[in-house]
Parts: sequence; C-alpha cells; structure tokens
Amino acid sequence: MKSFPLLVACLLVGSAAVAQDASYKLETIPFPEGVPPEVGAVGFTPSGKIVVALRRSDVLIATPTEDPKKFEWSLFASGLHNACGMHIVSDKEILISQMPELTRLIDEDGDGSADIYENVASPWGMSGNYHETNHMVPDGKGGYFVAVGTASHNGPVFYNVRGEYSKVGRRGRNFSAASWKGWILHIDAEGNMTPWASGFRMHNGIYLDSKGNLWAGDNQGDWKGTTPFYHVEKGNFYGHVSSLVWDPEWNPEIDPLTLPLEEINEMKTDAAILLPHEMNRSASEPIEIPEGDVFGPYAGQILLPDNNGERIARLMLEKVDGVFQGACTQFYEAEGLHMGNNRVVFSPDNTTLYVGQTSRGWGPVAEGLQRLTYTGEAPFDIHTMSLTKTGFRLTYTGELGEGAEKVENFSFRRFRYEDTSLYGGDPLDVSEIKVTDIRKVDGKTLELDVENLEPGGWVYEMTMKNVASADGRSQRTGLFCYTVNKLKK
Amino acid sequence: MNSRNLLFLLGLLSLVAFPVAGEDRFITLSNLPMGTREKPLVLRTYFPDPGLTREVLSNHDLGYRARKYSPGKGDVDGFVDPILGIPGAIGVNFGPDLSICWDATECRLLYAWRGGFLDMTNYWGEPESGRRKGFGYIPELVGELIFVAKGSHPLGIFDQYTEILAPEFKGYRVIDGVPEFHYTVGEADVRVKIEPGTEPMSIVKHYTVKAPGEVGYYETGYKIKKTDDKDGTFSVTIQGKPVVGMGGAAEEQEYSTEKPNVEWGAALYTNLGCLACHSTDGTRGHGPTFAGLYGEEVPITGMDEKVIADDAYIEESIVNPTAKVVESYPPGYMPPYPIGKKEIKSLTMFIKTLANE
Ligand code: HEC
Repeated sequence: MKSFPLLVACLLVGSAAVAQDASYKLETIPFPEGVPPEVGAVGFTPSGKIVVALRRSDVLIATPTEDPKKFEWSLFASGLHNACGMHIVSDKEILISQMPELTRLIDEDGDGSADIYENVASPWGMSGNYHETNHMVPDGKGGYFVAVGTASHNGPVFYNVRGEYSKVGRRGRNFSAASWKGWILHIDAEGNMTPWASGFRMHNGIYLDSKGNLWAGDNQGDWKGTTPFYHVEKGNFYGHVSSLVWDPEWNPEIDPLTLPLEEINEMKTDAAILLPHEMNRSASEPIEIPEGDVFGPYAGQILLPDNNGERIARLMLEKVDGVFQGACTQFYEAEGLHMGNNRVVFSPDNTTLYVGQTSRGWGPVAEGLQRLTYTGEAPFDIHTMSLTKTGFRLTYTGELGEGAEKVENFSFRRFRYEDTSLYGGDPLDVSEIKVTDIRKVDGKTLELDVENLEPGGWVYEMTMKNVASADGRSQRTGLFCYTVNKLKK
Repeated sequence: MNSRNLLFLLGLLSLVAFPVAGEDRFITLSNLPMGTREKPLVLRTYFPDPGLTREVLSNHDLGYRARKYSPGKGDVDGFVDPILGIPGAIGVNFGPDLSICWDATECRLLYAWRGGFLDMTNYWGEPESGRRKGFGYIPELVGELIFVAKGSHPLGIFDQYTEILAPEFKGYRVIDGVPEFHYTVGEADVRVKIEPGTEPMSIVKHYTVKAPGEVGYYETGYKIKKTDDKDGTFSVTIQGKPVVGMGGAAEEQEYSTEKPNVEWGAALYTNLGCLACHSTDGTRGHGPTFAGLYGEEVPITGMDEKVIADDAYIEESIVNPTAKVVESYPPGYMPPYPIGKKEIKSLTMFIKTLANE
C-alpha cells in the first residue's frame, strides 16, 4: 500500500479485514507427507470425490471426510506439466489444461487411475518461459475457453520455440513471444480453435456463470493499474498490448508498445469492477455462490480469491445501461486463510468452499488446501451495493439498528487508475466525496446521495462507522468499492 | 575410458528388477524423482537441450535476443539472449537403466540417458523456499547421455516423402505403466512405445503404423535392428552409446579406473544414480543421506543393536541392500548393485569422505 490517503482511510476504519465471525469455519486439509501442496486446480467428480491437480505433475483424488485430516489420497494421474485448469466430466474422465495443451485424462479400465492422456487441442505456443500457465472453463456445449497466460521478463525464452515466435511480442514486461499468449481462446467440441478475446496479462482465472456470462480476472501489473474483473465478450481487447501481435488483423510492422496511450484506451474494453490493492492483488478463479442459503446469504454473487493475499473478495455485479459494473468487498480475510488462493470449488452439497493455494514459482511459497464451511449463522453486512440515479443503495443482510441512517456514518472518496506499460499503479485524482442525503427505505435498506457521481471508470470507495444490526452485531466488513462505468438513466 | 567400464556395469544392472515401494508413488518434494522398470515415471516438463540440430527441431520456431527490460524504466541498454531448452517434451524414466526425452512437437525421441533422471531444482526450486532459478531454470539431466537424435525424422512414409509434413501429437496411452505415444503425419497414424532393451544402453521402439505407403526407418548415427513389418507392426532396437561432447554429468570428471579411488567413486555416485536417492548434504531423500554416515551407528529394522557404518556395512548395503534395512525406510526400495569390487570400494571411499569429523 503505497498511497498515503488510502493508508489514512484504512486506519480510520481499523482495516478492511473481516472480523472474526461465527459464519464460516476454516479447516486445513493435509496431503500425504512430502507431497508438494501446490494446487493448480480443484474439482469434484459426480460421485463426490475431490480431485486436486498439483503443479508438479500429480493429480490426486480422495473422498472428503468430516475430519479434514482423514482424506485418503490416491493418484489419479501423473506427469502433467504445471496443470492449472480442470474440468471433471465423470469419475473416469477429467480434462486438464497444462502448459503445452488441453489434455483429456481417461481411466479406461476403471482401476482409478488414468491410462489415456489425449491431446484435445494445443493451438497456443510455448516460448519456454516459466510464467506461461493456462486456466480453462467448459463452455457448456462440449467445448472450452482457455486463458493463455503471458511470459514474464523475470525469465527468458528458448532458442527453440513451440508454435510461432514474435520478436515484437517478446518486448515489454510481461510478453507474448509465442502464439496466442495473453488471449482467451475458444475450443469447440471437435477441437477447433477460435480466438475469442485479447489484452490479458495473467488471467489466472476464467469463469462461466450460471447465466452464461464469461468472466476473467487479471493481475495488476503492466497495463493493469489495479486488479480488474472483466466481462469477456468475443472480439474485445482488454488492455495488455503484447497480445495484439497475434491478432490476425494486426499490422506486424506496428509495435503495440509504441502506440499512444489514448489510442490504446480507445481500443480497450473497461473492467466491470476495479479492485484496489486492499481488495485483491492477483485475481484467480472466480466462482458464483450457489442458490439457496446453504453457503450464506449471498447466492448469485461471485467470489474472487486473491493469489497474492490471505483473502477472498465478494463481487456485487449489476448491469447498468447495458454494461456490467458493480461493487467489491472482502468476503473472508486472514483468520488462518493462507496466501496464494488460486482455485475454488463448492462441495456437491454447496455448503463448503474448497480453496486450493499455490504461488510457488510466481511468488513466495504459499500453498495448500483449505475449506470454508457455512455454519448457518448469517453475517451482518451489506448484501448488495448498487447504483441509483443520485448515489448508492445499500441492502443489508439483516435488520438495521437504530441510527444507522446518519450522513456522518458514511465516508466516500473517489479515484481512478491509469493502465500503462509500467507495473501496477496508485489511485489517481483522489478526492473526498460528500454524502448529501441518506434515507432508510426499509428495515434493511439505505439510500445515499453523493455529489460528483460521474461515469468512466471512477472507483467510489465507501467506509462506514457506527452501523450495527438491530440485534447489536457490528458490520462484518468496513470497505466497499463501486466502479462507475455508466450512470443510471 | 570411464564410460566403457560403466557399459559393463550397467549391463548387469539392467537384468535386475527395480522393486517398487508402496502403492501410489506421488511426486514428492524431492527434486530427484525417479521411476522403476516396472513403474516408469512419466514427467512432462521443460527439458535441457544438449545441442540438438535444427534438422531435429525443424518444427520449432526460432527465438531471438530481445532488448533488456526494466520494470521501472521500460527498455534499457543491453540484450537478453534466449536459452537452450525443449518446451513441449515428455520424459520417461525406467530407473537407472534408461531415461528418454520424447518430444510432442517433433513427435520423436530426442535423446536418451542412463544413471538417474532429472534434477528439478532449477525449475521447482528449493523445497523450503521454493526459489526457482530466474534464468536457466531448466531441469538438469542426471547420468550420461547414450543417444542423441540426428538428421530428419527416422520414420519415412514413402508416399508422403515429397512433402514435408508437420506431425500432430494425439496423446499417449499408458500400457503396463509405459506410455505409447500417438501421432499422425499426413494420412499416416503412428503409435510408438519405447522401453529399455535387454542389451546395455539399448532402446526398443515398438511401432504400430497405419500408412498409405510403405514405411521405412533410418536412424542417423546409430546401429539399429528392425524386425519385419507385420501389418504395420514392427520393433526397432537402437544400440545407444555414451555420447561425448554433449554434456552429461560424467564428462567433466577425470579419474583412473586402475585401482579404487575417491574420484571414481564420486563419478559412480552420479552415473549409477545413487544421487537420485541419497543426498550428500544431509537432506532425507528416497534413501538416507550419505553425509555423516560413515563411522556412525545406524538403526536397523528388526535389530535391537545399532550397526556401525564401516566398510563392510557399506559394501553389503550396495550389493545386498535388504540384508540390513535402515529404520524408517522401506525394504527392497534400493536395487541391489551387482558391480565389481573396485567400483564398490571406490563408492565406499567416496562415502567415507562425507564422514563427520
Ligand atoms: C531407488 C533409490 C535408491 C538408489 C538408486 C540407491 N539407494 Fe541406497 N538406499 C536406498 C534406501 C531406501 C535405503 C535404506 C533402506 C535400506 O537399507 O535398504 C538405502 C540404503 C543404502 C545404504 C545404507 C545407508 C545407511 O544410512 O545405513 C548405502 C550405503 C547405500 N544405500 C548405498 C547406495 C549406493 C552406493 C547406491 C548407488 C550405487 C545406492 N545406494 C542407490 C535407496 C536407494
């Protein structure tokens, strides 16, 4: 946290941390002794077994037990190169995205371990750089979306490259020297590839929600002033310029790093949500909270783990004037949660979120497997922060206590970010925003009017004090950030 | 010199079954993973490039030097050169006898070696800190090279020879633990399973080819034996030999083999693959460390008294490891090494140099 104003804001509210609460139980699940717990992917089979792909090659499988220490792990497959994506078709068929390809593992003889490792598709290249990992989600029609990660300037390329090599794409901090780095590719059920969207840096987490929307996070860094969360649509460009060299319509004479900033900003699609560094520094796999109250009151919202922090953010998305935007806050932070939160999956009964961790090789060692189980006791917090024509509506999970509706209880600031070729970014043009009015709409809902409500990617940061529930519980989190791309008409 | 002698030693070794401990063998934090003849270890990773020619890597594109980059300043003075490495290959280790590097881009065997498998430290990092080597993070070969591919692809399909076609990797099937690679070239469909042969340093490739034309096999620079083609099924045995001048751990060491000596012991430690299981720095691996072993008391499974690790104990441990099994290690995991007296003595002398003061 470099910026001074933000630091002050955090001190005011204590911190953005989640207060210790009775809503979620955290447990750590060990692997067999000596097994490197670097979790590249997690999933559940139809029969309820958990499958974990480890980045050092093994795919482990176990039936979850109530006692987190009693999992009996066995080996489903081995020999994969940095597997970071997984889709489980059946107890006998698992798809994995590994560094060189999308691979189908089949346990043909039913002995519990795979005997066929089929290359489903491998249209992307490999420069030889350690950073080029891939994530993947099924498209729901027998095909897949694959997020092809870029290379890092902290590593080299090889003399002999798989796929095509681009000298122009090699330039810069994170780079796209080999085919399709920094893209999301679509692979249909027959294995045919269609380039889908470009401009990603390290979209280490893509997700198709229950309504068919494709989402991808990214990691703050070059061309990503802060951690973004994107609604991904075909043909769009999301800002990291190196990937442009693989666009079939790109003029190979043009080095995208030399384009004027205005031109790049013109081309690019904005993030639905910008997450300040206090919320997330490296977005990994998003996941939608299932219907019903089995995992708490936030069904339909998206959780976004941080690969570079002990936390999982909660996203409140809405469509305003045809585009997605919304707010973020912390869902779970610290209190024993590891760093390196990388992959997530819900147990078949949706009561438990399994979180796989790794950042080894990308950053300091942080790894393991943990699970969060809802205890049934709903937290008191803002369920949804949404935009109104004049400010924001806050809908709480429970009845508000007396005196919550005071203007002085809420403080706002706004700032924006600029995406440039240099790493990350501080909030720019930070200013205080006045709350001009506050209304209690019903027992659980407040409406706030604020001044200077403007579109175009401003982040409105809200902190609060003295807000408690009718039964005297304090609010679980203290920091909310809403990204205003469009205004409500 | 040195390798000639090893040829004989390893010939004996390849007749010895390499037993398997436990049911599931996970890849562990050990940076020296190894398989056995019965349960080979398959590992897809980056591989070192021992200097393969462009002819062998003809389906790879070329990487170039680039301007140096600084996160704070952007382009800065100077250049970054590419490094040698193979991006998309698959390794298979059959214990100390044979390791192969089969490439899924060229769809061919690139090279083979014996002794150990890979030292993954550069890439996987130190177990505790996880620190990978920033540049040059390619795993290192353990042992010595016995085959390096030369020339164009060994498989020739006659109706297709006028056109140079890129092979397409389809995947592999594990048959009794051994992967059978599957690829297509034009209209030809090829399956190849590679295993150690019975002769020392020999490599057997079992082919099943469905092709529109006649199939030929040419291996540049190596003696081969090919069985008759029966409906597209045939085997090729390649007689490997120590490869000089292309890396491999044995190369830089100079030692005589006239009488036992420490340098020879150190080379055997690497070439026979002891290092895959025994460290010299005190860390626990598949087997106990050699650091501080000599002269110490060793607890043995099923024995009340500890045993002194003297010359006799170490020699017995090498020739007949199950005679006394070190406590907390599985019996039968270490293969017996039916090697010559001079070799055993050299190894013992080497272990002695690692004794505590
Ligand atoms: C596949 C793994 C493996 C390989 C390869 C291997 N060993 Fe071992 N070794 C073991 C294990 C496990 C033990 C302990 C169990 C036992 O005593 O059999 C052991 C025990 C020993 C001991 C006794 C150590 C003690 O602490 O008392 C010696 C000496 C030894 N090995 C020497 C060698 C030499 C020399 C080589 C190479 C020529 C070698 N080993 C290769 C696994 C291996």
